[in-house]
Amino acid sequence: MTADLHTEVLVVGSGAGGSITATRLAEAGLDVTVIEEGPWISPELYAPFSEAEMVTKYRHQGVNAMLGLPPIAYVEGRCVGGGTEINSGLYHRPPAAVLADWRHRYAIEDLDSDDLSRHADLVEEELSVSRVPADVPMSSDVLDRGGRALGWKVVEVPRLFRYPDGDSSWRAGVKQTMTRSFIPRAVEQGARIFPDCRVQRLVRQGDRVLGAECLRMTSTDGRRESFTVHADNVFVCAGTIQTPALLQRSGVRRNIGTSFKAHPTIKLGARFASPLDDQGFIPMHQVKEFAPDFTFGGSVSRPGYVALAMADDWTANARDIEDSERVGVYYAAIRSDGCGRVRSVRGLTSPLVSYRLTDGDLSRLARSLIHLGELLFASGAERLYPSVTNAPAVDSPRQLVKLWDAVTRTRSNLMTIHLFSSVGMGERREVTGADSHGRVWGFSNLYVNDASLLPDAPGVNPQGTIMAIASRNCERFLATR
Amino acid sequence: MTERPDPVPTGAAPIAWVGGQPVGETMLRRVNRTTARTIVEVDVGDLPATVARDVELWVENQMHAMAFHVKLGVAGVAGMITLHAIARTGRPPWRLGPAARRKLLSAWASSRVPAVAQYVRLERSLVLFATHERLDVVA
Repeated sequence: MTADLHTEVLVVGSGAGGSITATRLAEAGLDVTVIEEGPWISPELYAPFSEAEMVTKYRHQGVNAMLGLPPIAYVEGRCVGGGTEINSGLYHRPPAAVLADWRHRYAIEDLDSDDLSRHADLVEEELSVSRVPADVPMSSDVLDRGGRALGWKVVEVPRLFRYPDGDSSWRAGVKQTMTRSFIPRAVEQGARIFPDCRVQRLVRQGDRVLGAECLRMTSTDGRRESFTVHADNVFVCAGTIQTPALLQRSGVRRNIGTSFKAHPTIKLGARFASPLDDQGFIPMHQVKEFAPDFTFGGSVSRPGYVALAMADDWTANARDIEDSERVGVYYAAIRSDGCGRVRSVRGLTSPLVSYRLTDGDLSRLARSLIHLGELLFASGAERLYPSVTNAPAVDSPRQLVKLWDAVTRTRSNLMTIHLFSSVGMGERREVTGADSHGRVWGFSNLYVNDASLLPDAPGVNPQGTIMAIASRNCERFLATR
Repeated sequence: MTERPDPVPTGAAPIAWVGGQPVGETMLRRVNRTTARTIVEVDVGDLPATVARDVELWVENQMHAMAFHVKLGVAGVAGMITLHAIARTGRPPWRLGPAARRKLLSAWASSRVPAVAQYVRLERSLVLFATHERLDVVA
């Protein structure tokens, strides 16, 4: 039986935002308790992007979609460490131009590029953010080679990977997930972590949150027990979908979950003349020629993922699966004008998530798919497999133009792993859910400190921005409490 | 209570815990599995029986783990295609032979109702993913 307890700081969620929050506050001497809905699984236990990892670490075992036309598949981490346990580990600093734009449009106080750079420096050192010391994998070189052939801007994106002494090959890198980095530090400073424990709702009184009603799974057959965590301060860091859902079911609804953003992504399989031989790894190069409108990168290309990339015209593509070791999966991710909603509905455990793509988004997706095709042909691809229903494989650059008409609402098969902006920070109370430092409007001790706070799509992998902003907000909290 | 990683994984959470409340459970599972079986037969072909069974079961479980409201939509589609099968053949899909199921699958995959075509695409994606992940391990 878990007894009710009291804590100075309750952190709900243990992903990039929650782990940094717990660590910063525990290291400042505060009594911290972290509640995480998912299990605590050693990062060494399962191969990255494997079926076992999907089943154990992803919400709904990896099968989830935003409602809309087209529906957009998405994934969320649901384990200690959250999304950092299942993502690629790519890291972008928050772009200065994006920060300036957010500061202006949402009246965000103290969102200074230099100040945020200080936090980014710190996080980068803590997580060993670096480029691959030696050669990159062939699947990554494909993007570099194609970009250079076309004169397009290509970057090698740093990753939060640590390399053992004496081995600087990309295969040797160990991703610095939260369970390998921040969470052990928080625990060392006395933070308590409760895995397999769901916060049902926050307990409110006036402008204060008194704590949280929790439900803890005590065995794998579903037995549970309830208990209450009484807290002086509550940080909700449950991710872009679950943070607004928890706030809504706790009766906090103003500008919560009403307009979240994503980077909708369309995929293209590419077959080359020779094997790529590194298909379990994510390429680290990205093509930024058309940023911030869209960016090209690479996905994992294990056989199951290659089959998925070919699934949209399987009758014609099936025979090519025998060459799966020669196929890499690539993507175009767009910065979308559309937006989504998260709605918590009484009686449903999972919130309703919807996303409305604009016609401009569809044009960007079509354009990006064609340019990605150009890039891959320039890099030596022999055949491309678009993730568009019944779109035949493309065998030459001249055939790419056909994709322009194929990318429609009913035929495009989209996914995303970048979700943000479901609460939004800034002093413009009419559009934001929290102030410039994450304090939820109308509350004196309730904070949000995760991807939900980003006021708009950053146009790059959001992980670095989430971490730097979380670190900044903790510093502010400690300075003003 | 801080629980450090255990060498034995906690494993997947029970369905009720993650929001996958039952929706016409038996019928839905049966339709999902029959569709998966037909896709295995049509799209994958010669697969060792144990692997084929494992793929079907995995797909059935993945479909079952979806959020309640998504499953509700799937249940609606499952109801539609079951009625369609009965109207065309006099039997529900799981009582039909392979040839009749293949014919129906082809009709559903190209259905003008987006939800029906998306249902087949989702099941096909899961079948192909699971099959090729397994064949890779076997290889």
